[in-house]
Amino acid sequence: MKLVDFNPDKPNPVDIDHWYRMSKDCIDNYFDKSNPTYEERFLFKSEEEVNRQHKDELDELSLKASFFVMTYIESLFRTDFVLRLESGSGKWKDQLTRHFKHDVYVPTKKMYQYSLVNDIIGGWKTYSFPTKEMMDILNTLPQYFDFRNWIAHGRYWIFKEDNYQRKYNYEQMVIMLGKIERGFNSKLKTKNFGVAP
Amino acid sequence: MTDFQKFIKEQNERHIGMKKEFDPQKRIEQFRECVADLYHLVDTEWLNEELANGSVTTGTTPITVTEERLGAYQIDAKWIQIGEHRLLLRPVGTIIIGTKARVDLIYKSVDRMFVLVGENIDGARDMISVHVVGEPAPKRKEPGKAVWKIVNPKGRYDYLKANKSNFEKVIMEVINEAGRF
Repeated sequence: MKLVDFNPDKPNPVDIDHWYRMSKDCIDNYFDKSNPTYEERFLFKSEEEVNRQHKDELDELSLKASFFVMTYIESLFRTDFVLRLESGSGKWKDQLTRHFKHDVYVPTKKMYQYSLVNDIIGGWKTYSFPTKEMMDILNTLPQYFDFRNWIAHGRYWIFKEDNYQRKYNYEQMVIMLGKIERGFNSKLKTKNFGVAP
Repeated sequence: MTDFQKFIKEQNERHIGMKKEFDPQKRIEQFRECVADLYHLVDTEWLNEELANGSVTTGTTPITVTEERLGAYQIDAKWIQIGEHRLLLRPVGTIIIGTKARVDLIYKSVDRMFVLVGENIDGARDMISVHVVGEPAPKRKEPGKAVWKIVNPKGRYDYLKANKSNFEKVIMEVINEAGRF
């Protein structure tokens, strides 16, 4: 049974990192004193104002890159979920796959209607026999998805964590992604498009 | 003397030379004098009638300004009370791109910049020019004596000469603009 048309061109961490570094270079160049348009851009600004603006732009870039990494992490779990549902009866017989197929799947529901935290992460916590490392990640992920939702929904409410810019910046998201790749190893099913890396 | 020792000596001499050219304490004192001149203009020329008849009151309050190259220092801000409105002339700093003194007139979230620039400078185009490398730079106006001018940070960067009539105009603009929020 086919539930999703998978996108072979979905951005991967290498693409995201390339975009992040290129954008950061552009922002740094914009604020570089040796840039011939520097004086025109920042006429009558104090050094502190320029430095603050520079920092604000880099923080905003980091949040955006962090969001992209979060959506990539989300796609790992959702792709795994869909592949398990699509798999034939003989393919994967583990408890997690059986749980998704028999307890979670509803034929009339669209894939995006399945809750990432309750249906998918919840399933992993109970039925995948997670290691301590996996469980730590599974327990932490909902906070990261709260942050992802806040950005995705236009940040219209005040995000409850004060230091979110430090906790969910791009570098921290890359660290989280690394933990998932190590902790989950080959347990997350991935879609192979048959294209060489 | 080795090459490295010569290099160290040159770097140290250069640093001492730079420190002699740039005296932070002197720069702060000069800034305080410029700001005091501005306040004197406010009290004796721009609001003198209103202060005399009591319809406007002013006063100063010490604030701390911090600039990376100067550290933190005390300087007076000046408040202007008109009815229920209290505006503030707040010194921003002296290490500013394009000027050696900037004071902001602030009311709620509206502000205007007072900057010291040459009396012949009417806008950003008189201060900055961009030209192709290798071609001669366009001739610039002689800036003239440094005077206070008023700049709208969100505007087209045409500078108003700071005088009584423009000061009155800017005060009314700022209060009316703030009232729209």
